[in-house]
Amino acid sequence: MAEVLSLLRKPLVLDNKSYADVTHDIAKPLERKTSTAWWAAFIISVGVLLIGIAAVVYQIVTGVGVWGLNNTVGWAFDITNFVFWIGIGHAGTLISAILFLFRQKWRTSVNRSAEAMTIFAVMCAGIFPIIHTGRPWFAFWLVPYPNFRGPLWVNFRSPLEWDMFAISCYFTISLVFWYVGLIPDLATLRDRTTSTIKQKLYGFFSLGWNGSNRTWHRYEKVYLLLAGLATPLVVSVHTIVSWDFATSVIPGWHTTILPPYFVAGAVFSGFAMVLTLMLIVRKVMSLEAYITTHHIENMCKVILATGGIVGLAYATELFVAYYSANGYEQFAFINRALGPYGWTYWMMVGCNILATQFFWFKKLRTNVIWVFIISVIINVGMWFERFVIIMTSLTRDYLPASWASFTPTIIDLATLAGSFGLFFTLFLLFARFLPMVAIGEVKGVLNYGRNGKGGHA
Amino acid sequence: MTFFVKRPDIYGLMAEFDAPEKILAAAERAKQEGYHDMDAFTPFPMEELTDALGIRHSKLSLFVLCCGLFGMLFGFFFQYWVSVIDYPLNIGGRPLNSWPQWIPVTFELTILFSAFGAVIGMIFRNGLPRPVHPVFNVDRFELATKDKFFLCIEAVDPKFDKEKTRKFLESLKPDYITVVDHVHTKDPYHQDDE
Amino acid sequence: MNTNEELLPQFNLFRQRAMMVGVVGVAALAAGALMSEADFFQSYLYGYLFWMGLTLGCLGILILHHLVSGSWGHVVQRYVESGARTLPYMALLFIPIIIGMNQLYPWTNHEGLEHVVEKKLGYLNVPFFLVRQVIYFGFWSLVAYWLSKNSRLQDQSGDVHLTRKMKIFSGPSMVFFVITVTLASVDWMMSLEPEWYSTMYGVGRIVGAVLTALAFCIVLVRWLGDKKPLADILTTRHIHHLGNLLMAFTVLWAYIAFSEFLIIWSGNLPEDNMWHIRRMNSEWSVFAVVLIVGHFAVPFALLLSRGLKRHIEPLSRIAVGVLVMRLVDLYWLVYPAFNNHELHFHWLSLAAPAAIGGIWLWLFIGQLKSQPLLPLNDPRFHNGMAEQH
Repeated sequence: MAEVLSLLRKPLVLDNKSYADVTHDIAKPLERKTSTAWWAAFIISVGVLLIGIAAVVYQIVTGVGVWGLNNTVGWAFDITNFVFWIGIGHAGTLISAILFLFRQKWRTSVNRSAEAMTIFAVMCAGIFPIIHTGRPWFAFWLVPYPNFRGPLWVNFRSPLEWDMFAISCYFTISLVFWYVGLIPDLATLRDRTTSTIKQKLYGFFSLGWNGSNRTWHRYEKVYLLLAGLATPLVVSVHTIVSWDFATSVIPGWHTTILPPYFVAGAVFSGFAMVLTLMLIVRKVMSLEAYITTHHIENMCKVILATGGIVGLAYATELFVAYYSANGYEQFAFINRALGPYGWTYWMMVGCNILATQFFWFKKLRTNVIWVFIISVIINVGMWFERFVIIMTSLTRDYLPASWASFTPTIIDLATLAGSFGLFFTLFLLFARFLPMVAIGEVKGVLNYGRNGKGGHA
Repeated sequence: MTFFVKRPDIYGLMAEFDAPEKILAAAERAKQEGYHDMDAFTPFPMEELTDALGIRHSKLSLFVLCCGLFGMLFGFFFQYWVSVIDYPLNIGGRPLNSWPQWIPVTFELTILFSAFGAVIGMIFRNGLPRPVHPVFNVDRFELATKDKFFLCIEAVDPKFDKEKTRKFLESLKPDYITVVDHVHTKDPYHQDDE
Repeated sequence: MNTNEELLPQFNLFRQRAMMVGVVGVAALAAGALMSEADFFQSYLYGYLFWMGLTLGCLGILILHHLVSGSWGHVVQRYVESGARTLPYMALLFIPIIIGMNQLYPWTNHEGLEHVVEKKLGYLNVPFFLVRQVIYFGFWSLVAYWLSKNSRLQDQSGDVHLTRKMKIFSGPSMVFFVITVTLASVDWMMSLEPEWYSTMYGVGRIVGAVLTALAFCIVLVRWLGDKKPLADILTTRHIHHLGNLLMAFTVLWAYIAFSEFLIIWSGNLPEDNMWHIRRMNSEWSVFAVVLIVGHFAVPFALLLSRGLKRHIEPLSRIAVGVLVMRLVDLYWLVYPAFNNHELHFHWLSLAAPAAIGGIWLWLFIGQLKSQPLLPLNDPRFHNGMAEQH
C-alpha cells in the first residue's frame, strides 16, 4: 500500500513541527557560534575567489591575449561560462515564481536559498561579458545614456545589447523579489535576536514589519504579481541569451529551436545546482524535516522533464540538419559529434541525457547520495553543452581558411575557478546571516497533509 | 494631533490567541459585532482573515498594469527614436525601423517598470518603512512574528468603548488582553509631559 | 453507474445535427472535387489538419494529465479521452490525403525538383511516408485506448494501482508523443514547401494543437458545467486553472511564432527566409497582422483579467475566439504553400472544416456518451477536489 499512499498528499514538513519550532530550527543556526566547518569552507572559497581575482587583474593589466581565444574563436571560454552561470540562476526564479503560480506548496522549503543562488549566479555570469569586452572600465558604454559626443547611441539591433537589458533587469528583479520575500523573516529575526547590533540591522531591513493583515494582504498581492512578472522574465532572459547565437548565421547556432531549448536547459542545469547545494545544506544545517525526500524527488522530476526537453531538442537539431539537405548545417553536426571536440559532445550527451534517465526510477530519486552524484554530473554536462555549442561552431565555420582551434590557458581556468569561488563565498555568507528557509511561508503550509487537511495560506 | 476629533487616549485593545483557527473565529465575531477599525497580526499570511476582517481588496494590479504599459511604450518608442530619428545607422542592411529586433528590450522594460511599480506601490501603500508603531508597545507582541496571533480593535472605531470592547474581547477567550498605548508614551522625550 | 442518462437526449440531438452538417459538408466536398481537384485536396488537407490538431491536442493533454494530475485535469479528462479515441477514425479520414498526395506535396513528383529537394528524397518518398503514417496512428491510438481503457477499469473497480500504472505509462508516452507529432508536422505541413526547414516547426504545431484542445475543452465545460454530474464538483478554481492554461498557451504560441520569425528575419539567409517572405511580404501579410492582434494581443489582454478567467461565460467566449484564430493560423500556415503571393480563397476551405468537423463531433459525442463524464474512482480526483485554497 505504501506505493499507493504516495499518490496522496504527504506532509511537507515532517516531525509534527509547531510554529515555534519552525522559527527556532531555521533561526538557530544563525545565532550559534560560527562552526569550524563553515570557516574551513569559507576560507577555501575565498582562496579560490582570490585566485580568480588575481587572474582577472592580470588579464586586465596585460590584455585579453592571456586567454586562449583568437580571432576566430572569439567567444571561447568567457561566454561559455556566462551562459553556464545564467542558466544556473534560472532554477531559483522557476522555484520562486513559476511553482508559486502553479500553487506547488513544496517550493516553500527551497525557494529562499534557490533565489539566493539565482542572484549569486547572475553576479558570476555578469562578470564574464564585462571582462570579455577587454576594457571593462568602459562597460558603461553598453548603457544608452544621453551624451555630448553628438548623436551617439547603442545599437538596439544587437542581441548583445538585448543581453545587457535582460541581465540587468533579471538581476534587479531577482534581488527585489528575494528581498520582498525576506522582509517578514527579517522581522522574525529582529524580534528574536538578543544582540543590539543585529536587532538594529534586522530592524532596519525589515522596514518595521508587524505582520498586520492589511500589510500581509498587499504583500501577498505583490508577491503574486512579482511571480507573474518573473515567470515571463526568466523565460525571456535565456531566450535572449539563445538569440545571441541564433540570430547570427553561423551553422549550428542559427537554428529556430534554440530559445525553448536554451530555456529548458537552463532550468535543467539550475535544478541540478539547487539539488547539489540543498543536499549539502540540509545535512549540515539539520534541515531534513524541511527539505524532505519529497522535495528532492520533485526536483528530480523537474530535472527529468527538462532533461527530456533538452534531449528532444538535440534530436530535433540532428533530424532537421539531416532533413535540411544543407551541407553547412550537416557538417556542423557531424563535426560536433566526430570532430576535434567530439569528446566534449559525447560528454554532454552522456552527462545530460544518459545520466538523467536514472531519475525514471523512484528508488534512485529518493536515494540522496545517488541524486547528489547525478546532480553534479549534470552540472558538468551542462557546462560542456555550452562549450560544445560555442566551440564546435566557431572553430569550423563557413570558410576553411578561418578554421582554428582553442585551448584554454591557465588564466581561463583560473577565472572560471574564481567564479565558483565567488559563488560559494556569497552562498556561505548568505547561509550564515540570513534564514535559509522562508520561515513565514513554511508556517503557512505547516498543516498541509496533516490529518488530510490543506494548508492555511 | 487633530483639531476635529478628540484623540482617544489609547490606541486600542489587543487580544492574543495561540492558533490560526481561533483568530479567524474571533475576527468573524468582531465583524458581526460591528467593529471596522481593527487589524490582525499573524506570523504568516492568512487569506481568509482578510475577508473576515472586511479589508478591501487591493487595487495594486491596476497600478502595475499602467506602469507596465508605460514601460512598454517608452521602451519601444525610445528605441525607435534612437535608431530611426536621432542616430539612423545602416546595420547589416536592415531597415532603420527594425521593429522585430526592438521587441526584446521593449519586453524587458515592460517587466522592469511593472515590477518596480508593484514593489514601490506595496511599500508605499503599506506605509513602510515604519519602525515605530503603537502595536510594538505590547510586551508580548514580538511573538506575532513567531507563533502567536493578535487581534487589535482600534480606539478610533465608533463602536469602541474601553469597557464594552474589553468585555467583548474576553468573551472570545483569548490568552491575554492588553491595552495598546500610543507611540509617544514610550518615547523618552515626551515622558515628562505625561 | 452511468451518470450520463440525463444528458443522453442532448447528446443524441447534438450528434444528429453534427451528422447532418457532416453529410451536407461531404456532399459539398464531393461536388467541389468534381469542379476543382486541386482546391478540393488543399481544402481537405486544411480541414483535416484543424481537426487532427484538436485530436492530437486532446491526446497531449491526456498524457500530461496522467503525469501531473491537477484537479483541472479530472474535469476535462473524459473530454480529452473521447477526443483522443477518435484517432483510428482520423486514420481513415487521412486516406483522401494519400490519394491527393501528388497534387499536394511537390516531392512526390520526381521531375523538376530543386536540387536541394532531390537530396531529401531518402526521407521524403511515398513508401516511407506511408510507413510513418502507420506508425504514428498506431502509436497514438494505442496510447489513447490504453489510457482510457485503464481509466474505465478504475471507474468500475476503484483500483488505486491503476493510477500509478497509467502514470508510469505516460512518461515514455510523452517522449514518443513529442517525437511523432514533430515528425508528423514535418510530413503533413512542412514538406508542402520541401526546400524549407525550421527546427521550431514541430514545437509550434504541438503548442497550437494543445491550445486548440484547451479552448475546445473550455467550450465543453461551458456547455456541460451547469448540468450533472459536472455541476456538482465544478468550482471557480477549476475554471481559473483552465483560464490560466489558456493564457499560458496563448503566450507560448506567440513566443514560439515570434522567436522563429525573429531568428529567421535576423539571419536573413536565402535557404530559410522564403517561408516568411511568402507569408509576410505578400498579400498574406494581412493574416500576419490579424494573428498578432487576434491570436495574441486581444486574448492575452482579456485573459490578464482575473475576473474573466474565473467565470466560464466570458472565458468560453474567449475560447471560441481562440478556436476561430486557430483556423486562421492554420490557413496562413497551409495555403501560402500553394499560392505564393496572392490571397486565395475558395468556398471549399469553409466546406472542408465543416464536413470533417461534423463527422468528428459525431464521433466525439459518441465516445463521450459511452462513459461517465468524470473519473469518479480516481484517488487523486477526491484528493484534488478537497483541495480548497
